[in-house]
Amino acid sequence: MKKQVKKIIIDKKGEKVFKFKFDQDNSGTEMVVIILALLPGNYRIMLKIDHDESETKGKILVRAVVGKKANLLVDGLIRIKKKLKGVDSSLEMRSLVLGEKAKVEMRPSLEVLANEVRVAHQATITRLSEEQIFYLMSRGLEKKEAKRLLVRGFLGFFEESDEEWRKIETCLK
Amino acid sequence: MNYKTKVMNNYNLDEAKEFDYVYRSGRGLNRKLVEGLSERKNEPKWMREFRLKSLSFYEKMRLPKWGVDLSGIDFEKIYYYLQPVKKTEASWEAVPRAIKDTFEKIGVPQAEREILAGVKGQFDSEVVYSSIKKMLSKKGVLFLSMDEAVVQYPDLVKEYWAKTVLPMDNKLAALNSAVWSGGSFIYVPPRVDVKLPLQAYFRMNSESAGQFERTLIVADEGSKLHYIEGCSAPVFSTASLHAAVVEVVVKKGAKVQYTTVQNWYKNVYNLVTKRAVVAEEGQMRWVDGNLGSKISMKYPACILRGRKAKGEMLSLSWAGAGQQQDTGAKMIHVAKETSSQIISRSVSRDGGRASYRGLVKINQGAVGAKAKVKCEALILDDLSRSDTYPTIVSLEEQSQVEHEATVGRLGEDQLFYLMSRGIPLDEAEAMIVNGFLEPVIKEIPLEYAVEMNRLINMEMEGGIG
Repeated sequence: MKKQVKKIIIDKKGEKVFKFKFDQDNSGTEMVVIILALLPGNYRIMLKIDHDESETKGKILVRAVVGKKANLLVDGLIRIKKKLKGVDSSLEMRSLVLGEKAKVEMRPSLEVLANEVRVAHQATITRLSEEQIFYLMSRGLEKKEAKRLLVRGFLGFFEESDEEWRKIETCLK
Repeated sequence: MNYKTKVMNNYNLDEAKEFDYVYRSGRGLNRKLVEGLSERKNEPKWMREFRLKSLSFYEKMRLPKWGVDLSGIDFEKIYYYLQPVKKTEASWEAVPRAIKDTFEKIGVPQAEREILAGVKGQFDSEVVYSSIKKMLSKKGVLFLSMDEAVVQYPDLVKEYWAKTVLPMDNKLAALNSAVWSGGSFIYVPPRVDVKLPLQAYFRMNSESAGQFERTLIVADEGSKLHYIEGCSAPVFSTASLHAAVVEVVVKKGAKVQYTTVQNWYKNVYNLVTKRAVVAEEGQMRWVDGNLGSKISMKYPACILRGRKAKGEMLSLSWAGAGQQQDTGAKMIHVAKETSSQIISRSVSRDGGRASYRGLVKINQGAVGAKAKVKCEALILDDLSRSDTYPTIVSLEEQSQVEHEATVGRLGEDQLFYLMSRGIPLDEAEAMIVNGFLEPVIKEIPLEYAVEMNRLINMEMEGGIG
């Protein structure tokens, strides 16, 4: 089974629903959902993950960066229907809060009606670690650089455009 | 006869005994009943007013629409107050024979009573047996039934009464506030360490007998307390209701552990509101084992109000045939540097449904708060279901929240290994399930842990063979 990575980037305010269906054709796919909730306002994102066939694998990674006064709600539901077998499904949601007065709400849910499956989810809400910044600074990096590096690490291989980076950077101040 | 069948034979919970009730209220609920109940108990005026006010909230409010279907409860058919004996008995000898028999069946051993600090058994709606060791009273610890406390220490009770769980919190809390009866009141003075766990052992014993006990625990500054409640109810043909309210006040630097072993019979609706308010550097720990009942809705909460307050929840749920365990926890971080941890383990089989439903909320200003949630679920067959519905809200950027959940089945490799060692399939399964529940069971005092293990083995035996 080949691992494929797909990316979805969300940087607009408002409500959005994403449906993911895993079947034999796309089994083993890893989806990365990047949320840039940088401007003040409401961001509501709903992820619905379904497995249509037995013996399918799916993995979804969510990385959210939350800026000042942004209000982010992420719902993530994995539903495993009756009689499915050998399904392996996971959802990992991580958010990094960069700005003050931000509100983050995460609702990862599981509804599992079959037993020969493995389903997992994870969610975290964190900020930039002072310790890590300190470590990088002790290695001679500027504070700004250190933060930038950590945010980049958090987002993974996401190649942000200059414009996107400028937005993130304003949050770092 | 193998070990398990022996346990089955010894563990006979299924016999409901007939009792003469000194007083039994009519079915259904109204103002007159509440007034009469309050009068019978010789309560102060403020309590009667509180009951009546709660009744009006109850009448206005609706049952929760989310989560679980509660339409099976017929509130009109419930007896709201039952009184099996006239007075709280002072000595064991004075306890009626029939009640003793039932205690015998639940397995409160006579000899163990000496070791256990104060065994409080709630039999129906009244505490019939209580023994508090002299040591406790010397330390100034108050441990008595809620009914007695209201009459004997009205000022102390009034100071903390319904401050943590308000009657308008939810419909069932309002119902409890209106018709509550029995339960425990504990007050631990400053810097007193109650070394022995205080226990309340109670069971329901009348068809459609609603149990509305009310427990209030106040741990003063720097004190330490471990309270245990456990229950088992015999067979009934129609659904019973258990709607308790538990309030815990943890003051500065105090430590409280509240352990519940719940084994209501499988026709009981167990809808409980439990909440603790934790002050600076206080610690609150809920340990909750839910094995029985038809439907459980229980989400013990910690409101971490003081700096460095700590809340912990260890939950174990078992959902067998026809059961729905909707349990979880709530952690509300209000103050700086507060921390919380939730560990939940659930098993569902034979068509049971186990759900984790929880909330972790970090309020603005809770700088440096840390919260961690870990849920694990086992599904043992393809008829059963497991859900996880956590909600995590963060309003403070200087905080850290983690949540993790997995749902899976018994590991085939583990089963294979045990069977290769000559252990039969059903025993191997029971062993793995017990091992899976271990992190929670190990926090429960020994005698309860033994009972839990036996019950789990019994449940396993029931289905697989």
